Amino acid sequence: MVDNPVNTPVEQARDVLASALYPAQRLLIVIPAYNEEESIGHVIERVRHAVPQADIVVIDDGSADDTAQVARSHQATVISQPYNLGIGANVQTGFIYASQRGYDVTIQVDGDGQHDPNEIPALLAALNTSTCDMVIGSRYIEDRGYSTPRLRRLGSILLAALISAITRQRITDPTSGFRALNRQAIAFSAGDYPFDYPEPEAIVTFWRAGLRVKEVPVKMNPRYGGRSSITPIRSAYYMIKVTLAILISLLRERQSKPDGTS
Amino acid sequence: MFNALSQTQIIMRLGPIFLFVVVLELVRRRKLREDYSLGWLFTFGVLVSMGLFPQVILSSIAEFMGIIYEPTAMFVIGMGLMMIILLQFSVVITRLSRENKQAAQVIALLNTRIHELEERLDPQEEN
Repeated sequence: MVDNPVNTPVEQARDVLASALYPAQRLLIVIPAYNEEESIGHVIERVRHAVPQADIVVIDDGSADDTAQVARSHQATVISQPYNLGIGANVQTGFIYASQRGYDVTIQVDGDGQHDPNEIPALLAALNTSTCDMVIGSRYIEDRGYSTPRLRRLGSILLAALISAITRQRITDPTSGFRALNRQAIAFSAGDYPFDYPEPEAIVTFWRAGLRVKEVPVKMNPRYGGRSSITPIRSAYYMIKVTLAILISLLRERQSKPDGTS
Repeated sequence: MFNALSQTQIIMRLGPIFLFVVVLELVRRRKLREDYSLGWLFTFGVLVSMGLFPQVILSSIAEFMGIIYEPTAMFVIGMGLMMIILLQFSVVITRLSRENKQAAQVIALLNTRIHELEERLDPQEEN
């Protein structure tokens, strides 16, 4: 396992300051997982080590393996879907849970181990020290050694260009699910979150609702276990579906952003 | 036009009538909801009336559409009505899948809540 790259003194100071400024903040780590029994325990332990103050909820999307049991044995709260709902609906369940229980911040960390829990404090600090409602951990702002297959990188660049043009701000990693949301963003997502392939579309629906989005550089790992569900045909379908969803979302009436105080 | 009916004319008359009756029977047996049967009844009703009175309805429609062979006009209109019904089905499926998703989410959250409450009642019990 590769260690987290050393943060600069300025970044370290910022992280310390942020946690000192927001001691009472209730933080929920949302871990969506589908057939991740090999990696889920490892992810939970690393998250707990990185942010001991956070509550952890694993959302098991109808896994056929022992994902839920493994997560429970690592003392995480587990929400088990009655059947496979797909990533959008699965993650949204976490936002509903967070909004029902009054969490101030959720951070989504994928159950396959791609997201490095050591980066959580950086996401949290960026959320707390800016006026943003969502902070996205991006693999591509800085080169931190993450290699993507060429075709997927191309798709990612096209989506990034489309979303950047629409939102008039630079988005580099629209498919990253490594995200921190504040109360307003949680409340909005609990009510309205895309069904499948949600990440790029959510950036645009957030922007349409007046929620502010920001990216910070993070390092990501290759997968620990399990298999990626991405095939060339699915990738092509992904691109078409997401592009259509984004363009049509522009034709909808703007939604007002929730006040997040409920 | 009182000579024997051609095969085409027989099919044009009997086919829609048969399907119209099938829809009514499905509703009677509660295999099909009344509201979803309306589109089919309308479609087959239009086709039945075209098949029974081709000179009155079908020929004028065919002429209006610029179609020389009259049964083709019946085919085109039947197909158009069916596309509308299929589109309506997609809308219904979309609504059902959204409601289904919401129901599943509520079940998952309630299960977690029940699990928590059970543990609070009897902390010794394992899972």
